[in-house]
Amino acid sequence: MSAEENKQLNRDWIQKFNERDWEAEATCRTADFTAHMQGAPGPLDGDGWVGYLGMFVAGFPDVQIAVDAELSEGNVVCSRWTITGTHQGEFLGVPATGRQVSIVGIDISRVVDGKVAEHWAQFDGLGTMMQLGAIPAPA
Amino acid sequence: MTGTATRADDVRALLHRFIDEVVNGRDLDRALTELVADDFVEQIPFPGQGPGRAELAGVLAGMFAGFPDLRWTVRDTLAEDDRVMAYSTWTGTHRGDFLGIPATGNQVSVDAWTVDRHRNGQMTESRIIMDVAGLLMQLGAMPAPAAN
Repeated sequence: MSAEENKQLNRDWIQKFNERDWEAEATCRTADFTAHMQGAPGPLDGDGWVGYLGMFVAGFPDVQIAVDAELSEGNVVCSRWTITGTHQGEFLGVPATGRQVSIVGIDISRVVDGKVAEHWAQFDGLGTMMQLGAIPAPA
Repeated sequence: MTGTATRADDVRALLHRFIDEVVNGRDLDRALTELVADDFVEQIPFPGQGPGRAELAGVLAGMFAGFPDLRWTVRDTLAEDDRVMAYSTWTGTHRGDFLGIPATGNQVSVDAWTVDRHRNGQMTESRIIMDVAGLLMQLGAMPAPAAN
């Protein structure tokens, strides 16, 4: 896989999520896929990953991820992105507020045989909570 | 392959120098001035952080005051052209005011992700995403989420 192919895989994977095409989303990952996600108590397997995504979709049914920039080197691809959505369901214990949110984040994926084998991600959790009014914004 | 250092290697070396000399070495004068452009911009600023190298120095000084033993460890990097991404973890002991929170003596461990851009050997732009929510939980300033 070239750097360009890794980026294409990453974009395809996100596109499948945006389309809620779960079958196609799963084909972008290896069978032994592992994810290291902010807020998760430990590494997630494929089922845990689907549950983690489901948490976002439940809180923000119209959630979309837009890739803002990508870097790739060797078998690794990094992207930074913006998640947008409307808070129409409970998210991290905060009941629906109807607010529009815009959340920035960064991730890394390790690619094996054209599929994502391992994934790390971090998003602006504090900014998210401020946008939901769950914690006060700084003065 | 030419065998010479590529641009990606250069920006990776600059990142490591910034972490070693400015952050872990606490050199906010000579090293910071050498490694960061005067018109540096943080695209995801800390509360109150304006554009410019001096504002970055101010943010770092605030972190050093809050966590005098702060140690920043780069865990992974990717570089391409003039950009370098780093996945890092910093640790420290909360011995001074930080974001308005008085010293707790708590040990913290915080993940941070950065994407930096360099020009002529200096960092011109950065984007940082740090697990501030996790940090505030470790300082007891924000409740931890309830277990499901």
